[in-house]
Amino acid sequence: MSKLKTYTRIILFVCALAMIPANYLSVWQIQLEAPQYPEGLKMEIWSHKIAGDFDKINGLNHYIGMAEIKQENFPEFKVMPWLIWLFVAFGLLTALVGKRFLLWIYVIILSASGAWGIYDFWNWEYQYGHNLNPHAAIKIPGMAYQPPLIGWKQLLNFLAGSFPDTGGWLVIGSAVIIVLVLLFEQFRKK
Amino acid sequence: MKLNFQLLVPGVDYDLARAGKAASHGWVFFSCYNSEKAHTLLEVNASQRDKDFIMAVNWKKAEEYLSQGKGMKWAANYAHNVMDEKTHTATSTMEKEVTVLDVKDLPGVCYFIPCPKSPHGCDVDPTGEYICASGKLAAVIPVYSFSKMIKAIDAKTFDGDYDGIPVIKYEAALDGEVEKPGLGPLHTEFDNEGNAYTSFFVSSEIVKWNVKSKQVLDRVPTYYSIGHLCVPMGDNIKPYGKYVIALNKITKDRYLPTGPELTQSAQLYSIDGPKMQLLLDFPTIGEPHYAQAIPAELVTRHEVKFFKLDSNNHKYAAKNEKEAKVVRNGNDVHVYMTAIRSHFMPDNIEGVKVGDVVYFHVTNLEQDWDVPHGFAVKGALNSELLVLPGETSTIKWVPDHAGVYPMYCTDFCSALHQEMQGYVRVSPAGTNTAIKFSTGD
Repeated sequence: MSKLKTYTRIILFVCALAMIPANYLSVWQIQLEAPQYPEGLKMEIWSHKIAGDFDKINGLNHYIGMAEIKQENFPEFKVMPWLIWLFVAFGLLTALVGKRFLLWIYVIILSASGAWGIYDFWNWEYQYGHNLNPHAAIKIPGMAYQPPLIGWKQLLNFLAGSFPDTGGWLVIGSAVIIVLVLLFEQFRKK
Repeated sequence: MKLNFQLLVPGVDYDLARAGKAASHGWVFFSCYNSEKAHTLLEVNASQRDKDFIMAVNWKKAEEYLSQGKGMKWAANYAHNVMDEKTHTATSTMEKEVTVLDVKDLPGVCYFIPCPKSPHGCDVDPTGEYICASGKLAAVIPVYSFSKMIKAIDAKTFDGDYDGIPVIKYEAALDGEVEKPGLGPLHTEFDNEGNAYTSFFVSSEIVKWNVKSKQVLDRVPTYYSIGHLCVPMGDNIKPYGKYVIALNKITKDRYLPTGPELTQSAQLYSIDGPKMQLLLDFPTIGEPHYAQAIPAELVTRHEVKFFKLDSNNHKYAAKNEKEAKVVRNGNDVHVYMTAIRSHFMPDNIEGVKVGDVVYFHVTNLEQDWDVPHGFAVKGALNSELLVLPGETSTIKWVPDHAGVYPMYCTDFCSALHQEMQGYVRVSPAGTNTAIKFSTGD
């Protein structure tokens, strides 16, 4: 089996370590802006909890009959911290052992997890946006309240934004670099 | 408020007071009029003497006498109220006694300084060295010097006494007079460059003069008959300056006569340049008495946007909807009620009887900026509640006849504010209707 270049292993090592803070920082953020909220509302999704203004957002959501956003509803919070530790551990292992096939497996793990994460997040957004209480005070025919997967979207009086937060950027940035490193290694081989 | 001590002083009218600061810290200066001690037709009888007084009080000295036990105990009856921000509840204690210091018998506490004709404003400049008195009927503004006053006291440069209080010689305490300033001076505020701004009621103007030179620098008309005035932080050690606000006593033709009274009027001037400049003429309420302006940041950085429910220690708080309940205790009924957009918990109550005293303890469960709820119940004759986010407030209600009483939110809280209502059924006295409560059944 072919060995990885030294600088590749150093980059892998740094990227793996860079993902550690993602377990101690907000990974994703949902922002809401409206004229009467000049200070804005922000919900933070950490690897193990939700934080920020989700109580206030729940208070607003009850008008349109959206289900309450509660920590207990998300089994993901039990899994995600371990997943990030897996990214870190596998990255370190790959860097130390320095085998190309390990890097391939690593990239597959990262890509699969990423795909699952995007689908899971979209699915929750869909559920919250569409499963509305039929007795809600405000009902607008045909209106759903699914926030954007990423970017901005106007939902009634609120402009909703969905973006990676610091922890998320660390994971995404590291993963992108790791993929580039793999491509570079493949290119060099030829 | 709790009184540490009171001073027994001669029976004249005491008007306005300013505490000394910096150089004069430890002293307070009062304007006094009616040194004639008139008791009828004061308009004439209290305006006979050429000079009334500024009373200078050394309160640090008074404190010394107090600690030496020189005070007399007099019977009193006043409320000492203390608000506890953690329990959102006040305690009220009736105090039955106060310590009185008789300044006649306690040398060094109290002095009179003669002051031209019926002084009103008595203002201390930012350095604390100069005290400006405005004799309503005087032709000059006397400016006293604190250090000259202390020298006169040390040298006993007195002009006899008034009811046993030493009267300091006018010239000995005087630093200088502002000549021909205007008519009817009332109040003085200061900027950050050593200038004073005095309001003139009779000649309807603000006059700017220099505290050290006593020279008049500028004058600007007001609309009309200015009383108080305000330079931002102008009574402070470090005035902010920039503006002066005129608070007027008379309005006449400035605004539409909407009734029943004419609105009151005020003007905002810039004092940045050498000439004062009118920026805004605006209506206001009250008969504007005293105002102070401070940089907004001094307020906003201390702003409490809402009370945290976790630290609400009110005895009757219901911190979530599960804690909402109605409890009977003899003839007292306590309603532990929650309010959140846009419903009360409970909003249907039964089992209250005529003869009961009902206490609604309303906790606003909101944890967001500027979302208060109100609470009123029909038949509460003298008040309603305004409950701020995270706060608990209590209203006492004594229903006087059987029936169904509405209760409702009185502070616009959301698009469904008007739906934020409920009902209490009051049964006749002597019935045995059980307490029952609910929301959403």
